[in-house]
Amino acid sequence: MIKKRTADDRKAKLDTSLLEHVNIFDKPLGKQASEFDELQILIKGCIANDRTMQKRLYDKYAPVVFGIIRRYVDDNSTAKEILNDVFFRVYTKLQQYSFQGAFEGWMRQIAVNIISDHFRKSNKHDNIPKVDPEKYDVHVETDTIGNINYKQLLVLIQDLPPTHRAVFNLYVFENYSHKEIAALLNISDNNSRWHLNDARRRLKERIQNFMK
Amino acid sequence: MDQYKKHIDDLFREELSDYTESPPAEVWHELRNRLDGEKEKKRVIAWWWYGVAIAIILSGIGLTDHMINLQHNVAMNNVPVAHQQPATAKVINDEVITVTKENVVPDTKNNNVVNNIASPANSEHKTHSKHTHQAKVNTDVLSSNANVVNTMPASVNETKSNAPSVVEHNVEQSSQAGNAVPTTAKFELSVDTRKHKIKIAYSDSNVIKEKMLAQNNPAVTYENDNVATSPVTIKTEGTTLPKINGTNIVAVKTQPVSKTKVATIQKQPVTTNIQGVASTTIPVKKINDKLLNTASKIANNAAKLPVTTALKSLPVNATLKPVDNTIVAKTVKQESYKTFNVERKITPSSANTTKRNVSNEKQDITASANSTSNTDKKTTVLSAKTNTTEVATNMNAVDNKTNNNTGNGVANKSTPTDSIIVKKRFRHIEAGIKLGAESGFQSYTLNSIIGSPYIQYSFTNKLLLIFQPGFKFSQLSNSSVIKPQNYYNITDSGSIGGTTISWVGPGRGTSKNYYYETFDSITVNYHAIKTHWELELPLLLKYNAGGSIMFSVGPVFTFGKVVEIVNNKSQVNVSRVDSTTNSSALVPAAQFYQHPGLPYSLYSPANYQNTSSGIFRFGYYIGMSYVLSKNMMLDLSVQQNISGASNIRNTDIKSLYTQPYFRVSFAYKLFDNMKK
Repeated sequence: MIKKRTADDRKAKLDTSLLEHVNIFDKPLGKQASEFDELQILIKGCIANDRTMQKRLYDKYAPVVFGIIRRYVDDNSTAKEILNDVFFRVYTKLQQYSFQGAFEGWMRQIAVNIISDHFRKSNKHDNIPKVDPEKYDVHVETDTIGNINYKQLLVLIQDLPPTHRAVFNLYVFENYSHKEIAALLNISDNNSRWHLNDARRRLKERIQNFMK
Repeated sequence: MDQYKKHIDDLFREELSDYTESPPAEVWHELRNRLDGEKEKKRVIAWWWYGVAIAIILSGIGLTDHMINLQHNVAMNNVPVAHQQPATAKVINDEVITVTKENVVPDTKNNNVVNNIASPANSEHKTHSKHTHQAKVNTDVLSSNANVVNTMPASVNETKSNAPSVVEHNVEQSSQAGNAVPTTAKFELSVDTRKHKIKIAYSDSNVIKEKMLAQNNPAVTYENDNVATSPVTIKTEGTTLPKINGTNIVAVKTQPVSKTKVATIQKQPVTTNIQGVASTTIPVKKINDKLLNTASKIANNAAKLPVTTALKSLPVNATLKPVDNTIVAKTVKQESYKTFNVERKITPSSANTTKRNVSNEKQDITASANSTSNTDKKTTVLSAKTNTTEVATNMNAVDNKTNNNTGNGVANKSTPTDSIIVKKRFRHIEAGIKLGAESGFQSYTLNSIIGSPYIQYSFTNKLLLIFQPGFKFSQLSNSSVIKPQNYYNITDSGSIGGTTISWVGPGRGTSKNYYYETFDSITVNYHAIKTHWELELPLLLKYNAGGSIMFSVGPVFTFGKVVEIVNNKSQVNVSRVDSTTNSSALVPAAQFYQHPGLPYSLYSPANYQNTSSGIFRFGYYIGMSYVLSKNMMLDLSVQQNISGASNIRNTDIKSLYTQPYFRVSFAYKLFDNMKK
């Protein structure tokens, strides 16, 4: 026999501090819930070294991760190598994922770390302090960019010098601060700013030239 | 105007933040191969290390064998040098003393010449069989009254039955010994206290030969300042038999073989002188007056040694019998020590009787041909214990038919008067303690302190075996190995029937359904036990590369529990209620609620706790040692387990048992059986 309770009785038993701890109501419902369950199954399968599950996880997230990598790396073989590294680390570190926070964000963080590692290995920076260029208008006119598609923009980013590209990506797409970028790329804060501003300047020039 | 402008960051962010690109198909194939090959790769690396270890061991053994052969050849090619001049000693640096002796060998008619110098080019032993070495031993006997210094400082008694007289071991230069050309000979002895080595070098105008005497090299050893014994020198003189008085001895030396061999010497064997060599030990701790005096005495002693020998050239038992140039050689089973026996028959000739005057106390014996010292028909065994060797010399002299042939010998074939037995042993055992620190260079690593006694046994002066069981106390660098995990355990759930609140058309309505649930929220925290200990048992082969540097390699067996991961759970009971509306049917509550974490049924502590198995591990050790002082040694080594850690699921803990560790340790010698 189901004991009926009033809503107040039941709510009275709720421990709100616990709710904060377990984030009960932050979890997705409905369709999202099924995705969450699917992800759980996938992750458990990957931890168990199930190749099928690993392939499914790869199929699901590889395009996203590869898209991130392509922004940082113009060389095809290097991009593939980094993608390989990212998923290998994901599979080997998956049991450390605690289901707190978006899984995609967790993977994205791994990808950025590996890209940064690779960047540090392959690029030697001069830490000569750069003089910040004079203020430069980094706005572009909307009518000039109407005909540029995202692939052309990607090419523009890939054509930047490596450090410019890395700083621009980390700042714009990952929302890293200059301090974080400096630590990640082993450069100074000031140089990070300089690289960002110079990247913007170059990109704007390229866009303007592109439209001519 | 600004509305027509866009920040360049925003432009790219909007266009490219969600950019995706399908990777090439080969990436997955490579990734899958990588995942499949992870174990295989580890296995290949492990076998690679096995290969390296075996190669090092084999090369060490091969090199040692080569060195032994080399020393053998050098010893057999040693050229006797006349040493009548006083030695000069000089300090080359703070720690090295070199005593150099040079002499131009006089012409062949000079009776004071105490050595035969024969070109080694005439030495037949250069082409001797590896299994049988034949040499003829010639001892010249002087019967004149000339004052000849008996440069045989050894305690060798040689007796004659009737008319004892002095036997000179110094070989009178035969006028017919055409191969004994005047030669500039050089004797050089240096003492290196830092390396604890005595170096002896010979040179003449034709050849330069050098022999390094390490601590356990039995070639020439010195004990304090006193001559204790007389090892043997064999020198080949070519194929001509001497025609002077003396005893011809045919010597056969055999290499170790598994069964007895009988060999017959050819009619014209290589003649060989057997001479005595002093045996003294040099204290090489510090350079002081005592050492200078010692070195000077050594030089003097050595100067009086007509021939020296490297006993390594005599690696096995051999019996030498001069029976008409016929040799019966016996190879006996090789023992821990090696002996070399020479038997000869000495003719008790009336006028030219020989006697070897021996003094155990003094190195120099001045004897005249008329001096008598009856120790007839006795066999004297002389032994000297040195740092590394035990040498016993026993000479039996019997009649030699060759003497009869030359007309100088008188038959008395049954009197064994002199025999030589040379024993050499490698029983250098050293023991001490080692203290060191060890660490890896990964984020999860064990920082350890190791204390270990060690015992070291020297096979040769180059090859050593060392066993150093160690107790390793370790501290884990980082104990947080797994993030906390959340689980939920539903204890009561249900839905409370629906209450229809409205109807929308016939047959359809919406109802308000209440759901309730009680569950336990469980948080599991993990941490690794920080302190850890292991017992390791390395058995290492050590190769002395010279220059105070030694290399060691070998397997390491380790016993110790795997670093343990413990967990603690915090469990909280939660009840909650929620409701849904606009539902035409009552759905199960389990589908309604979503939970953080995983169902508690999936909680598997075995995934995070280590099994109790795997306490035995196996790895390799590669190290280098540098001798800091006589008792102190610095060790640098790399150790790594290669037995795998498949029983450990946690990758961080597993890495503790697969990563290489670097160790610095100091060894202090407490015991040395060669220490006086």
